[in-house]
Amino acid sequence: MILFRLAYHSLKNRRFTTVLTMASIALSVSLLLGVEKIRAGARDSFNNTISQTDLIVGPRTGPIQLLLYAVFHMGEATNNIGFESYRHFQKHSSTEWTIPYSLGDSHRGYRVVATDENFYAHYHYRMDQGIHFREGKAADDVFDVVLGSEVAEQLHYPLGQKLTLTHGMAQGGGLEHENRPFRVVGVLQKTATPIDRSLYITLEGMEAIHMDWQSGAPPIPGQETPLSRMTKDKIKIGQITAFLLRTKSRIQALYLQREINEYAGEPLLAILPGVALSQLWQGISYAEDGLRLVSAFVVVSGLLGMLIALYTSLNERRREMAILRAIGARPSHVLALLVIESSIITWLGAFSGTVIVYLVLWVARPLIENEFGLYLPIHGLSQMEWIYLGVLCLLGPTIGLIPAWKAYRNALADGLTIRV
Amino acid sequence: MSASSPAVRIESLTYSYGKGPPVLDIPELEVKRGERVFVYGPSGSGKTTLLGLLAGVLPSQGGRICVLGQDLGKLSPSDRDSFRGSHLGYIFQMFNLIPYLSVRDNILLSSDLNRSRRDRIQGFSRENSAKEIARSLGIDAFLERKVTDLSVGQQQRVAVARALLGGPELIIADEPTSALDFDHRERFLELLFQECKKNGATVLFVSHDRQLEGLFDRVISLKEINRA
Repeated sequence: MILFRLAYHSLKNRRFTTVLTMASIALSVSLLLGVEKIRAGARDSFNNTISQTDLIVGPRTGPIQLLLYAVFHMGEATNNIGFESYRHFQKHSSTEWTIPYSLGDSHRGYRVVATDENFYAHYHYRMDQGIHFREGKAADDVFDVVLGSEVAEQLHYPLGQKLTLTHGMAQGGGLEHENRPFRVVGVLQKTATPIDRSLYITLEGMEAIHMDWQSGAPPIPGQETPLSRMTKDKIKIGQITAFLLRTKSRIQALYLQREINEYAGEPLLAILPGVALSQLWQGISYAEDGLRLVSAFVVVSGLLGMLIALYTSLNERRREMAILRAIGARPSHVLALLVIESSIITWLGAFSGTVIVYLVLWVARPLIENEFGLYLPIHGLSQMEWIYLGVLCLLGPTIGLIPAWKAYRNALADGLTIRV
Repeated sequence: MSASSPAVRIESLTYSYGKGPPVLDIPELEVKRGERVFVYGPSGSGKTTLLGLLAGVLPSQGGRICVLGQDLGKLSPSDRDSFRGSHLGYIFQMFNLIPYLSVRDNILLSSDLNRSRRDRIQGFSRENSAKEIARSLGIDAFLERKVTDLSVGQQQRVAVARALLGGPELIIADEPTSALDFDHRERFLELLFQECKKNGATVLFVSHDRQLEGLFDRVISLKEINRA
């Protein structure tokens, strides 16, 4: 007990170096935990890009590719599926709801997603978060368009703004659907998912702008269908790109997946979003190992800082050790004193580092979500983080053994000789 | 370790560092209990070595060293450490105090570190005995102060208080007055003797300066008893 008091007072006496050393350990711990929190947050955000959807269905292609264009609105769909197939599974007895997607056009680099009212009603992300409007309403008329929040922020379109869509994804130089302007009727609230980076029109709208196109070429001027004939009830939808499906009970998802994959009407692919998401994450997660490695090195350098601070203090503390020896301290007491000091530094450093992480997380969370679209939940420490802290709390005193051993040797050699 | 055994008894003691020539070779030395002995030795006469052996920091090599009847050669290093902690008071030339502890904590440190020393403080609480000693040494006003605020003379008196708390039987003082001027030295010694007398403690006072030897019961010249 007296050794703890001695260690405490001795550290307090050298408070400047002690605080600096603790701060460097605290910072390295907060970096380590921060990286871990961001990593977990990024993975969670990623895995929660879409929720409450049991199956993603598209033409037969790679699962990752289907996931990319259906959920992340990235990459090109190579094929479409017939609307009849969609209707078939929409009416399936196991199906609760479906969200159809028709992709392919863009507006100033942002994807245009053609869908129907089910999207606004049933799309969910991050467990139970739904689609909400910041202003306006859902696209209902053929030439209505709804903006994702990022699109609205970047392009500053007010409600009522007219805009034209570009055929394909080419930004500039693509063919504009010039004579079929759309009108902004709504803006979505921020979701911090790819939803924010797209525009939403109706399936009929998508059909309308491609009406009269012949094998990928725009219609000959003068031969277009007049706008008056383009009302919702007069447009027939031929194809969509993919659809999301919710089953009435989760058990049915696997049966339905099998059924869709074996559908005789046309070759289809149904994937489980959770499985595909984690497969995709696996593929891009090597970057997080790099981050982890870097923060581990920072922790090691923090501990080395402590080693240096304690080691260099030993020479000026020789007379202190001689005094302790004179009043009956064993060399092992001297060893223990130094180990206790390094433990106090490491443990307090680790503790304050953890506090710092949570403070920063608490303060910066809205900012991070706004700026980077990364939602960081505030949870307790994960098992992995406890392990990190545990290892650190053992590593500190272990490294402290080095100056402690030196002090032990000094104490044996010096005895009661006071060296100043 | 009977009370009748001498405070220090040395028989044919030799000591050398490594394979070098012996620095100590003392055929015989005895200090009686309660005696106040002035050991005179110029630097290089083996003073430090002798004190290291008496305090049990150095292991004895040849001969016998008995302190308070205990043969130090028969104790393990850690037993010698606790023996020193509980039965000896050691006062250095200067810098006797742990700089980051208060005066009070410095005085209490030896009894903090040694259970038997703690147990020997009877009647009073440790706190009160520390105050009592501090009062008779004239430093009770400084108990809560930082030791670095004290003058050298005051610091040495704190060292005496720490050495005496818990009533050790043998006080070893290694030139504790060398940093004080003459007037203060005499005053310091008076206080030291007065407190040791209360406990019946033996004083072994080592110095290279013979000015003070008249105040002691007995003067030993290390040069004369050391044949090395």
